Amino acid sequence: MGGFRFPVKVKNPTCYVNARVLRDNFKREMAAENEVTIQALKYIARNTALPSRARLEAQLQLTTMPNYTRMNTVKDRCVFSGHARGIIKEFRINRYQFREKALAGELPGVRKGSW
Amino acid sequence: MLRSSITRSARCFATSRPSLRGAVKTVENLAVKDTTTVPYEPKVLSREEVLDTTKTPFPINVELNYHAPLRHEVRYGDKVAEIQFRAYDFENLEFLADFAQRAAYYLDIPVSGVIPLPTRRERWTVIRAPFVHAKSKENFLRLTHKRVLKAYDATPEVIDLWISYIAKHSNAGVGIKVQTFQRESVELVQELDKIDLGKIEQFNGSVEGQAAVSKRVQELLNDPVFKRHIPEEKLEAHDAKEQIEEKQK
Repeated sequence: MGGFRFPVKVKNPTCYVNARVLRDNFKREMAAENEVTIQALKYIARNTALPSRARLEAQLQLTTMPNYTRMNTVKDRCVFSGHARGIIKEFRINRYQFREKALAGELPGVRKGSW
Repeated sequence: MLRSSITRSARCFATSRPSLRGAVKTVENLAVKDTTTVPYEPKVLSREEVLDTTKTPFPINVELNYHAPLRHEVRYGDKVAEIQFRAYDFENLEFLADFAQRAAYYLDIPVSGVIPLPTRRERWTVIRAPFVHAKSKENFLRLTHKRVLKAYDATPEVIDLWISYIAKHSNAGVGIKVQTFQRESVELVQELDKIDLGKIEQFNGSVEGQAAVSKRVQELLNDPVFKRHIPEEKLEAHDAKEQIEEKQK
């Protein structure tokens, strides 16, 4: 794997790209790839009907999995600017990008509010 | 005294506006048409004037577009479908709901009137500038308008035809959600009991990803890393139990 910064090669994101977006994208891809295994290991670890050694083995396997396979390391990022703060969940964009897009009429149905 | 004056003024108003009286009359005619007991007489409604362009009379179904949509009487009240329209602007929405109502009339489906549901209001307040501590804010909102049409006393085939017709001629920016209802016999529960569980493999994916996880659990438990911790008979029992669970899903 020469010339690639992450341990596993993944597809590039289709949104705005910078280093932090790439890092987040890698975590997302890895979390998605390992989701079934993590769920299965958790099932074994929490199943009281199984022998405790098997459950401990599952727990050990869970803890030895790399951090980038966990969903809680994933952070929402703006798809237009890559910014990680002030994200409006419905549109997956930053508050400032949201304002610009809304004023340009690019978000369906969103208009300036007055009430 | 007061009452009589009011009625008199109302009467004056009606007589001074003959065109309005005519309009009221046609609406009454339409109301009579509503019930299926009255024979169908399209001549009453037609303008009977020959158009210069086509040399044919003005078609009755075209003329009906100038009036409120006709409806069939609900006879049995057996609700078979509920169709919901959603849009951010109400113009396209009202148009499509009206269209659906008219289509239902020509397919002989008794429908309810267009029922408005509460509008969903989403509001966002954002800082006007990119700077975090800027004081000035700006408000945005999005209204989602909803309309519902209920269809009664029709067969599923006709409802399918109606829905596909609406979908084909649907308007831009209007979402359509359809719920269909069907009645089953009382013996359904007994018949469901008769079904062989092994044959309903296709329903296992009802909970998304559940089947994949249970498959992976079995793979892991059969892996030598886990297998050495589990007594042989226990593993078999667990496998059998899991298979049963999977079938029951």
